[in-house]
Amino acid sequence: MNVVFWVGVKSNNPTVCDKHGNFEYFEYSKSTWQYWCKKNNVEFIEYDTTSYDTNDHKVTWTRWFELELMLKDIDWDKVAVIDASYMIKWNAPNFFDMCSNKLNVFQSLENLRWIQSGIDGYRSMFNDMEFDIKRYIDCGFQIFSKSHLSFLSDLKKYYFDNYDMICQLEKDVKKGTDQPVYNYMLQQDNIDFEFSLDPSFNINHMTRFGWLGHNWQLNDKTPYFIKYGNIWKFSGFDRKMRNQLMSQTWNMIKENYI
Amino acid sequence: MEHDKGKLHMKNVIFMINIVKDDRSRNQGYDYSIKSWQQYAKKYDCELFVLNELVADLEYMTPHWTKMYILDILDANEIEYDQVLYVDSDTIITPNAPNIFDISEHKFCAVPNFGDKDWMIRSMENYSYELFDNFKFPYFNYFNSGVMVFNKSHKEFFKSIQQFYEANRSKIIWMQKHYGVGHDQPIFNFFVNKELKDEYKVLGYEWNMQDLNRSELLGNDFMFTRYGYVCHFNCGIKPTPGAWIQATYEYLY
Repeated sequence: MNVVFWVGVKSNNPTVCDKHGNFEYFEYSKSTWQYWCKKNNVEFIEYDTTSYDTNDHKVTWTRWFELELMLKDIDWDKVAVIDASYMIKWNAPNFFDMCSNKLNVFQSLENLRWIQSGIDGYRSMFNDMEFDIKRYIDCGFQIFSKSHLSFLSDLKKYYFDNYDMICQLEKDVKKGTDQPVYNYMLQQDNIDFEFSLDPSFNINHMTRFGWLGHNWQLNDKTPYFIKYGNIWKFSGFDRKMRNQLMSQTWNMIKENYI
Repeated sequence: MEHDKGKLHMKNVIFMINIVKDDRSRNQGYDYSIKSWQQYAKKYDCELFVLNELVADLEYMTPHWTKMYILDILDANEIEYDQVLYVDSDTIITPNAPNIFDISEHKFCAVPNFGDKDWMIRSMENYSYELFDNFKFPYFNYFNSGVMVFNKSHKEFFKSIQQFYEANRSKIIWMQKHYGVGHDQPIFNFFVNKELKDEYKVLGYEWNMQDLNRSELLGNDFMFTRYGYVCHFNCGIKPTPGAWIQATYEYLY
């Protein structure tokens, strides 16, 4: 059995809620994933509560710490961990069939200045190790096998051993939460990962790359991201826009999910 | 045409086009681009060939299309070669770049187009509809034709493009003016995706760092030179591509 582990924990922190427009977009994301999982005989697991205090420990971290526990009663083969900012197209192929047992991830190439600054900002924490930026990954969508659970245990240990410094760097560097540390640890621990899925499974930074447009010259009104993408990530813009964009998208395509 | 005819053994060739047709092209900093590639050619014992003459009247074809005659031009100049790297003249190669010919696997190599998907998808769809009987290929296979590696085995491939251009010249010129979504690039893409398929090797962004504004790498700290090897100053960067080509050359060399 393959599993989609959908990360949609609502924070009770008013500032975070405001920043995310009260998380209304979770419902649009969830509807698409539930439909797709049912269609493809994939177990849908909703990670919507955490045993950690979200004021102290961000969900971007706790998802890694609670994944194994959430799956303990399931006989699973591979698990895709996916954020609630992603929607999947109704007829997207079953990506589990296209992946090896390695950790399957996506290269991040969208805002290379942001990425490089993150790498530079966290370098001292990893003894100035050489980091290959061409292997920097986007943490929002990954496919794991059981063999990767030990890496997540190491990540958890590292997080709690270095909690104060991680919190400080997050404030000072401002280049993500778990992602820079996660990337450093992947390379430091020589975790064998690959970019096996094609980019249509991770269409992101849609405003930056003009994915929201359509072919006005041939008078085709279908937005490019819907026509060419299998999985859409709504990020790379002000998070307050996320509700609106995901709501508009859902209203445009919802008939396909019945 | 400038090239070193001194050595007869088969070398790899770096081919550039530097046609000065007006003040604008004279001030684009292409000399700095060529100087950087001269150093790369020397480092890896390649021959640098800079074409500075038009192969056809501008009315007949824009200089972009010269790329489809590269192998013919090398033959006409009696240059023996193994592989060829074509690079646009608005690029700078970094001094730490590895030898690209070592990673080509003797395939046709190029780098996916990075940047505005609106332009790129219109380019794909419009040419598909108007000239290629609605033939489709995956959008992420669409490459930028500013950096390409190929070899002798691609002679017939380029001949096919030449024949296609001759047969469809007026439609292609109309397409260029009417839609504004590319010259040689879309046609090259259709031919590669139709005819080469498994013979096409995708190279990483580091080998053709296009649209540096969009990746936010462009800046006075020259961060882009830390990321990769071929810095491509396209997509109308400000103040001018020429200013960046010169500044980058002076920063690196």
